[in-house]
Amino acid sequence: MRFRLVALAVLVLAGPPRLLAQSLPHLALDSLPEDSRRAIGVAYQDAVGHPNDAARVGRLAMTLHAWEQFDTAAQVYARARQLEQRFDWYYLGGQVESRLAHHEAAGRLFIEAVRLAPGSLPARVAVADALFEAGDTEGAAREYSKLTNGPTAPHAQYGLGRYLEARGEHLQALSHLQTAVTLYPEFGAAWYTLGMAQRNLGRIDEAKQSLAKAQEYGARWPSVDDPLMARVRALRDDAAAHVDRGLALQRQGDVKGALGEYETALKMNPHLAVAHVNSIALFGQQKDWVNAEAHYNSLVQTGPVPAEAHFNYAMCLAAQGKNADAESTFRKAVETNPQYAGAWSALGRLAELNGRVQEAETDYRKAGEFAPNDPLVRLNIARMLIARQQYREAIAQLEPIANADHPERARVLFGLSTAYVLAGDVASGRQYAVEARDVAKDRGQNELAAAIERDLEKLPK
Amino acid sequence: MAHGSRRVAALGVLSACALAASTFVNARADVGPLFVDATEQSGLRFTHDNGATGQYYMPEMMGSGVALFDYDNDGDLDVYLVQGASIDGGRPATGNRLFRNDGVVNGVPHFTDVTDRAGVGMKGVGMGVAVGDVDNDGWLDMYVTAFGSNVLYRNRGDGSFEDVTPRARVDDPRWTSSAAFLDYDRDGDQDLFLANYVAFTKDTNKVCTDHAGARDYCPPGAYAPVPARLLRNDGGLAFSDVTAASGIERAFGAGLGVAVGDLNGDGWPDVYVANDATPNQLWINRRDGTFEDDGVISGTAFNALGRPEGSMGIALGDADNDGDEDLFVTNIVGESHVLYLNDGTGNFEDARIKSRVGPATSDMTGFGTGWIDYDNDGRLDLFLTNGAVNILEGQRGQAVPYRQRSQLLHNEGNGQFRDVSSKAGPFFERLLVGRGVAIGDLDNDGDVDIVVTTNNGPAFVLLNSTIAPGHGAGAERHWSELDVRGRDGKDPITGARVGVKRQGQGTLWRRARTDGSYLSASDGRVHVGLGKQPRIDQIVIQWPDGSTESFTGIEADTIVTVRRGTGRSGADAP
Repeated sequence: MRFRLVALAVLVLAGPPRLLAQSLPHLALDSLPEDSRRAIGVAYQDAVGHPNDAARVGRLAMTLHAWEQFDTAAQVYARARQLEQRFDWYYLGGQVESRLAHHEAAGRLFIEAVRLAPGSLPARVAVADALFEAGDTEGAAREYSKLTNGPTAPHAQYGLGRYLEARGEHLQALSHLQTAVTLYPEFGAAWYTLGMAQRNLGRIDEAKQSLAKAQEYGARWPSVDDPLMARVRALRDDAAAHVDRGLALQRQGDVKGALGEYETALKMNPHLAVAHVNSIALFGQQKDWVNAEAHYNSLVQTGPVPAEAHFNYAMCLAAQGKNADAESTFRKAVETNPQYAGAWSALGRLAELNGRVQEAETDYRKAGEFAPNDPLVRLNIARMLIARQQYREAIAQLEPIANADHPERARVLFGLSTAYVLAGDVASGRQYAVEARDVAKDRGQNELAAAIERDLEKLPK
Repeated sequence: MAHGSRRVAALGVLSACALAASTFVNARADVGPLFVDATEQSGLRFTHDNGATGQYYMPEMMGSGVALFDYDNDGDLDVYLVQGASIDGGRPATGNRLFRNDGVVNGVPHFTDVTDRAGVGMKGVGMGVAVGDVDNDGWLDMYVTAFGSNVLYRNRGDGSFEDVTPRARVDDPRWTSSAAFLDYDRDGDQDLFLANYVAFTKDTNKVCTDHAGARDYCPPGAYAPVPARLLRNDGGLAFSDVTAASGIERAFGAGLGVAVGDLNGDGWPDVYVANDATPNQLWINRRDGTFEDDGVISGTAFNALGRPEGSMGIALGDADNDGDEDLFVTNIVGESHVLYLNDGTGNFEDARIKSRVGPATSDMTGFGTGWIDYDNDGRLDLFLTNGAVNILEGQRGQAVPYRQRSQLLHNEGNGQFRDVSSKAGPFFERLLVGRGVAIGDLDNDGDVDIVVTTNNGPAFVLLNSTIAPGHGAGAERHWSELDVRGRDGKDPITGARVGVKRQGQGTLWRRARTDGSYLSASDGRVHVGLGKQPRIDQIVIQWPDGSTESFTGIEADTIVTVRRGTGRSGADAP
């Protein structure tokens, strides 16, 4: 009797049985392709086998996150949070909700993450951003105000500028936004908001310059070191992930790194056309013709060959002076894609080099059909027109793009100058030549600037 | 009903008996869903064939559109539906269909397929349709777009159309998506703007995958965008390509949506182009035959971060009743759709957060859309249809993993919108691959109805039941529908700006338009909800040529034909 009473007391003191965490979502693994099925499947089986193990459940969530299965990742992170009140599950759960544009939910998770790890800069920045996107701009401003020093400074200044701009306080917004782009000159979004603020103040010319910078820098953003997100990204190791990393490295100018990633990708999937196409281009840049050709031949053997592959390889051939082979390869590019403006342009250039001027003009005009705003295309057409003494038509080609900011601007202006002078309007020709020379000098195109200067000296006063 | 017969008498200001609500047997619940799916009862039987081949050719996922217009001038809206086809010709194409509205029976309009008689059953990989009167003969014509050659159908006025494409020189063999008629040079005839998408061909089809590596449709960035075109109407069914001369060629993206409106308040029509994952264009009419792209400086090219978004469907309308036209644009999942508020000068603010439109739509990939005062309270609400273009995670492994719900967003009047889809009717619970949307009063009962198309699925007829007796949403709400016509009472005037003035209340500004949405054309009549106050003091019309005219004596709760030249010129015009 006494034993039974003690046992009963122990049971009462132990409380009710521990509630099981909610079930893991069912994953339709069979509907996934092999790479993702394998990666996710391993993590899934592990989590299913240990449903109350937060680390295993969390790893499943991170794997889903890496493969951008955000809806399911969100559910699994929620399960992980039930099992363990850990910063990782709150912060990463918030990241996933942000990707789903569920900003209110993301904000709540980030706030809790910061409570668990007050020193986490990525989490503190994420709180501010989520509050802003959810419409709590006052709350966002308070958070941004705490982050105006150190590595988060550009982001915080941008956030404060955005907050003031949203309130219609355009002048006050300006100083924060200008600080943001001073701290991080390639901050595309900050340039954009700065442009909008300047526009709203009636400073249209400044606004246009800022907006041009925004378009130039695009999605570049001042990053804060985020080791947890790096761990998520590292969980994905398929061919596509290597290609993505290769593209990112290529954009940063790391040719060797990019080629390494493409090589890894091709070992996993030898038929990955994009990796071959990009490898041809990068090996060509390095004048490694052997490897460029090897990648091209791989595609030819396995087929079909994308137009871009023909184009890139043709560029390699042209760089080696093998113009006849280059021409036939460019032709393959336009046969594959008749609207490939770059290939038509290249054919025009080769025809011109061979003295086939009429054919060159036809090819340039073909390029112009599909890329009417490409300055180089217009310049080439204009040169053909000037050669045929159709100066007014050449002017009509170039004037619409004379003021646009692009790498060929000096040549375009010089082309206009030439056309005007030959058409008999020396004054306009001189004006354009002076502008062309100045633009060329500003851009370090010294040979071009010198050539323009020599022509200027020949013009009648 | 004989072709060409009209229900209205030809007087200075014409009115039509349109209180069908008081006469029909209400087949719908007195208090119930806001919209009733009347597809089956209406006889509008149409299923889109996207021609899917298993090769994930891009055009398979993008169609198609619908037009609501009165092709036979009998006073009610007929329906034209665009059909798809296999790009490789693997299945026989069935062709586009024209359904004639034969009137309302038991509260539901009835439709009869008259395609063969009309001669408008174009077969091909159809995309969209634009409606306008290209020869000013009082009969509405159609321009049908496709992946491949487009067709201009001229309405003969006898129930049939003729293909005048070669004669008019208006074809574009590339991938044209949306098109819009507009009188950009204010010379009294309808010019034509074409949005072109990307340089996809069957032979250049690329293998694309989704994030999990599964084969899926390619994003627009996989192919080069194709320039838009502007074709000037020279009269006599002849058009000239003025794309270069007008400056339109200076900027372009992967065009999907086109809408026309006066976005900077100078009285001249401007053009907004929604480009998929590329900057949108806002072509401001410089009034000299040319346009300037103010997309970036206006704030409508990008989102608030300065990045392009999906941008498929467009709705242009005065969302905040401040007299200018605001922009609603649908985007892809994870971006949210956007409301750009106009300050009246052509500068816009991305108001998706503060209007609550963003949070309501972040899970959606939107296509066809339109402003619709569904409850006649005088404030424009939003209808949009959604449907993904890439595999939805939660539907992976299913036969059609792209299905989403359509939405109805109510304008609360305080700058915010509320998602009322859950109260709008069973249709809004259906998961569909929504694409085209056309809006118009199909049963002429004073509330605005909707036709929705779905990719590789049926078209739907949604009848607005808010005006039904006893229905809470539309109780004691008044309305006006204005059929704006030229001096002879025949030519429908697209582009006219209509102001409804009421004592003690702000003027409600609307525009007679058929463009906008996605690949679709809506009712060109102007519907205005009047709320509880039925009195209309004056109607002011700004004609497309810039002149103004005012009209009095217009009664609420009627469909009225307003004829140019029968009002008072200039006086009281803003």
